[in-house]
Amino acid sequence: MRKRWKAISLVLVIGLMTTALMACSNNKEKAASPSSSSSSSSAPESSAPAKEDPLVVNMLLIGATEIPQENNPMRQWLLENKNIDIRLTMSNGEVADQMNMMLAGGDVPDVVRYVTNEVSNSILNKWGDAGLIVPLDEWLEKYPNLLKFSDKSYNKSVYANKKDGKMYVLPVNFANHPDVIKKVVGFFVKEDWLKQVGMEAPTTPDELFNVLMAFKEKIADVDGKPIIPATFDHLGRQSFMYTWTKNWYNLSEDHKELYWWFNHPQIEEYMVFMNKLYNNGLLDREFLTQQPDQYQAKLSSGRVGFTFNTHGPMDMANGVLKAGDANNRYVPSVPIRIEGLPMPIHGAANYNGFEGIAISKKFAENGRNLERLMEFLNWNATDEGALLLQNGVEGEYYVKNAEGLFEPKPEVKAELDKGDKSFEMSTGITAYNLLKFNVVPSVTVEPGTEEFKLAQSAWAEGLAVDDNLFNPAGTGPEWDKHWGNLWPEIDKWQAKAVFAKTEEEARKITKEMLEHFKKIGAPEVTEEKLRLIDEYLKK
Amino acid sequence: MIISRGEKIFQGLNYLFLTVLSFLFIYPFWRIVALSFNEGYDSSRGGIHFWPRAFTLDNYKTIFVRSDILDAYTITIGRTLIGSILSILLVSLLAYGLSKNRLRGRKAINMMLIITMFFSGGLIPTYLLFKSLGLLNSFWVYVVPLLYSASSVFIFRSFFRALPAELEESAMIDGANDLTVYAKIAFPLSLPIFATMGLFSAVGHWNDYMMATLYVTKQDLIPMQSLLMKILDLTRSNKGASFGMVDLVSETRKTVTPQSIKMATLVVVVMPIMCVYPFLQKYFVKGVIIGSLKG
Repeated sequence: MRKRWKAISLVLVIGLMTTALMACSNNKEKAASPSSSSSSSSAPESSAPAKEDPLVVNMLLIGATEIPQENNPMRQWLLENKNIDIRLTMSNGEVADQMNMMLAGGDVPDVVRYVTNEVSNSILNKWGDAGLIVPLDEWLEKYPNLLKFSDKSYNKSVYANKKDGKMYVLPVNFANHPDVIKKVVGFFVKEDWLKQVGMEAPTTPDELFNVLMAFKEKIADVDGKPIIPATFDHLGRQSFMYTWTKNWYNLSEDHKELYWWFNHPQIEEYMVFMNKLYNNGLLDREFLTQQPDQYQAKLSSGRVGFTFNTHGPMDMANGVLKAGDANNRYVPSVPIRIEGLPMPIHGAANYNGFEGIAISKKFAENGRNLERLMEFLNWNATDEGALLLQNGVEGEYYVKNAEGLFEPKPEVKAELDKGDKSFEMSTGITAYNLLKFNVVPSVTVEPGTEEFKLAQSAWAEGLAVDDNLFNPAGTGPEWDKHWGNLWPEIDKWQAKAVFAKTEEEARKITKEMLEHFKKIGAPEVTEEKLRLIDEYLKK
Repeated sequence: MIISRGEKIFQGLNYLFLTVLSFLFIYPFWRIVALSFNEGYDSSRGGIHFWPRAFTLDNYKTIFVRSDILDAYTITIGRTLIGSILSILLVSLLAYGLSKNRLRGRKAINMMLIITMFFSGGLIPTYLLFKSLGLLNSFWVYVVPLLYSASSVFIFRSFFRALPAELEESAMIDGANDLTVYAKIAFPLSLPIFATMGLFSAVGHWNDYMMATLYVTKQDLIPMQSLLMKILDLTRSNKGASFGMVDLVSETRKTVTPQSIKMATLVVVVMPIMCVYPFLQKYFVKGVIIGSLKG
């Protein structure tokens, strides 16, 4: 009896060990590498020409606001034509929280697209350290098109893992690229008022002063309320300051001198000019204190002659004004420049990725999965792929016009005009353009209002390409200690200087301000930033 | 009753003060309602104080036209009803037990409850716990974690302690057990606290946004609050900050702006729970055990 039990135990142990060994050997199958993939994939193709099963990709979009309906034509098209089934889910909570939780849980979906920033990139690299996702370097080398809108050195400094130097993320950074960036912020002037006073749009502070004086003297009240020749919200007054200070920071060519907009040597002239506007009744008395609703109400009632903003509030104001009179509108106006000073930068293109794609190790363990997904992404990066994923199959939603550009069919345009994305969500167009790539130069008719199109030329000068140095160099403890205190101080001093009774007083206050900033951390922050830039350059 | 002139003046001023105070509380809500029924672009001109100037239902249409809103309402109403009822039942049972001095280990249980008031598990451990319990992407993630709340237990416990012991004793003499006493004596006498805590729980469930944000990615499981936030985000990114992509003269664009959608969203979120308040109001002011002991 005892011997029988021993024999049974032995058989069971051997059986268990064999099973365990087999399981281990299966798990040892490594993620595919581009070099090995061709041989591994060619074998089954030659021996078994039968079509593979569809590649199922569970993709989580962290920070997204909308995903398409589950069964949509584009998903079906991809299944039939690309043999890939992309199942999108989304989470719209705090990106860092979501990513940290997945890190802690040790469980990452097949593919993740996340909103990139310093924190999320760092967490993503922790995913890499924990072995939850696979490095993509070899694939990025094999398919260079995937990074055709990227800058390698920028990617390396911002996205690459600091420990092993590998890229675990495929940065998706199209919308802010210099080739395609839209001009979305700048000055606006009331077009009908300019016509009434018979003047051109201002290009210098002196011209601006004259135009605003003409508005004040010649334009009648609107609905019984006095007109406001010029007003600015927070964005506007800071950006107007760039006429003198170039940008919110001004780094010299040799990276040895750095000024912030609040302690720039030219800031005094800005204060004096604003003081002049104020004392001549040309500047909104509430420009420092007004709430967004108040500012919008002034624009929408057509009482403002000149301001600075994005298209958002201006679109809204124009919508109200043009409903009554098509000529009553704000139009984009060129940057205000001073001879001898650099062109103010009101918008900057850079290589920063808005989003990034990562692939889980679990998904890549089957080498063929990774290989097929990368092939799909590479197709996405082609003009053919991007066009199809963005606009659907040719002729279905978009058709070529006489100029050879694609434009939506009238019924599609009507749907798109609803602006609620219901069309995109029901058809799946745009959603599966995982790289968010588009065709450059554009082959579609660009949507946009007339004012938007005007802005593309009027504001072109004020758009620069960000130097790839300032932001990646990072910040340090002095920044953390002082920056929060420096920022609000400018409004206090601006109020004092702009509301001063005379130019002399405004100048005196500005000088006091510059001294004050020296005492509250501006030199420390500047010195630290220059050191960080220097260290970054040496790297 | 004769009241003096001074008292009359005081009463008058009192009424005036309370009227002004009520107006200050009510007016912001009323303005929100007015703005939610006004065309968005027209609202941007300002000057809407009491009544819509350009009436429209488009803001509400934008919210209710979505096919997923029914799912979201079902989830929200479901979790509010199930979550609140279960929570109140379990919390009151625990509190009833803890209100009795004869319960062994009462102090230890109290201590464990108090600890949860001072220390939370933290986001990551909580996530791991929910994951191991299979609550991620499940309806029950809205219900189970909110079943017990230490503060609610203590409020219930204090209330039960104030009930006259003689009532329980007389019921026991008549052969009732603890559950019978809870159900037939304690519960009817404690309706105000049940109503109050039930309302707190229901409001908490109704307004909860974080559970879905952190633990749910399935779109058919998201509650109303999350969906409304999505609509708001979408409207904001697609219409308001439209960066010039919007054809402003088209009719569909005039009426809906992110601001007007926000106002309609506030009304949609607040109204249902506000409708419940009047029905529970009487319990808040009613005496607790007046007349329960006679003779």
